Amino acid sequence: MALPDDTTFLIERTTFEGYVVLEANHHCNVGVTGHLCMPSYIFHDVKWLNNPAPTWMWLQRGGSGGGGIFSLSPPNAAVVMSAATAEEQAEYEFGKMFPPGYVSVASNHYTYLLSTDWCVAADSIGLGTRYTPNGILCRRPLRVLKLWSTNLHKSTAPHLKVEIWLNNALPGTAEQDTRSPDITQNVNFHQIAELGGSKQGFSLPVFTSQENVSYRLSLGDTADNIPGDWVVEFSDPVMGNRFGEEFVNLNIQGRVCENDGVVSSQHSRRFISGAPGQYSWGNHGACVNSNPPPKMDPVDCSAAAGSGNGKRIADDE
Amino acid sequence: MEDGNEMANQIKYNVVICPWPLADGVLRGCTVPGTDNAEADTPLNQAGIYTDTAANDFIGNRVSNSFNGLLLQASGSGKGAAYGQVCTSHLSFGRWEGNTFHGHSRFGLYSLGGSYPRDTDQSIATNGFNTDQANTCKGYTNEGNDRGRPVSILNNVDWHTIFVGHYNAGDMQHRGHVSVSNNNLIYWKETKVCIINAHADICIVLYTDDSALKTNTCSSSYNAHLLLYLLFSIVEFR
Repeated sequence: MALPDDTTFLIERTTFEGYVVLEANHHCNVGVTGHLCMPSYIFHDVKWLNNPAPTWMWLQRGGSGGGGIFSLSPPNAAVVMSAATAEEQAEYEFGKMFPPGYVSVASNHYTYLLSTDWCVAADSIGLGTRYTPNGILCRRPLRVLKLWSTNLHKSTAPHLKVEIWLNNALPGTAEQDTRSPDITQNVNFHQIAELGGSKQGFSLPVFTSQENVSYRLSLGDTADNIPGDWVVEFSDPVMGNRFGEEFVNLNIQGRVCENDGVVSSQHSRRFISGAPGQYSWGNHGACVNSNPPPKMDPVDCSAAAGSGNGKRIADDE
Repeated sequence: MEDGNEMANQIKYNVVICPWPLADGVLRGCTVPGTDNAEADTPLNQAGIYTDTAANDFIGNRVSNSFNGLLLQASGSGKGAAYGQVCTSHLSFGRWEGNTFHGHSRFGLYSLGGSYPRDTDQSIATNGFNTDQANTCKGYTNEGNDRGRPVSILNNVDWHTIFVGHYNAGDMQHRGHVSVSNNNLIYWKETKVCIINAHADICIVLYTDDSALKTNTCSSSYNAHLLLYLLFSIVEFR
């Protein structure tokens, strides 16, 4: 299955049977196709049956380092995580796309994950080809954090410095003022073609605030400020509407993140659609410097779930 | 439909079978040389059902052995008298339900180009034209809210084709989709943040409600078993 780039792609109550390979970011970086090539594929109540393929999930990113996250939905992941034994974890039909106890996988580019207690290199448990190339399997859900930059060039762009604090006892990012980070990783700049201002930036998998992890992002070895007009995007309002609002503890160097650094999945996406439009720069997304725009309006997915017919044109309804 | 302003037509319960292989040296499948639409008619992208616009109903059609099954080429601004009068990439979908595509040497269900349906001002009263493209074809309101018009493609079946899906498409849900023994069970390059507002019928872009995505190379008897199973699934949940 050649899956698309960009946002959260939710696959629900679906049966996968036989020789099936899930390819992240199909056509990423071919011509001008793709954005940051870091989508989330969320699987809810799926069946994964009799798959003889050597590779089940292919974390490709058009030759520029792996991208994409495959993860069980929050309720499915919670069931797996609460299981006491591997045997019990293996019982759940929806969990069979991962080894018992694991609920997500991301690219081996994000090595910081291996410094937590939750993740392993797929190779280390003999599954490097199944989650290729040697993805990182985690026992906790992962979400995507994106920074859409503008007007950088591949040859001169700085790397993103990511500092991670584990086991935060203080809320939000408050613990970052009290001690050094536990892990530091540099994330490379990503760009589609040379389009000037758009289709470029940085992205990484993150743990939600539920895991008591906090992040600080800055630029280069000298930890320079993140420009005020870059667009920050965490997870997806779809996740909040469908499964419940989720948060990341986030500190953007040089900017102010709302709610003392507890950033919601429901933050403003106005003017953002695919690669953010020019009108979103500096004004929308998360961690906008002043007067953060309101969250997205909530949608009751359970109320809408009964509808199925294609939308008719207005005059014909 | 190849002008792009056609709307509210119902293309229902047709059977389209191409009896010749595309590799036939003389007939070249079901291609039609000499027309003004190379996409619809030549080996470039010949299709059993071809449309420039999504704003019509496609219900219960069955297409087999053409190069593509149903090709939506919503990537322009109309043709002929409709040229420049309609934003075909962003027209709201009609009802797309219960279509079956089988044995195509390229796509079964196929949307080419950018297909991002929006709440446009297309209407029968304006001959299917968009009279205010600047405001009603654009992606956002002045406040930055998404103007997408989501669609559910229901109970589509693709079987024994090479590809199924889209180049660039968003605000689109596949529900009850059955994709069996296709080289690419789904093929999709780019999507978008799905529209989320109180008027949307759907909240998420997904495969849902007992969709089946299966590849097998087993005997015909096993295929038959799968078909029975799939039909049962559809009946059970509808």
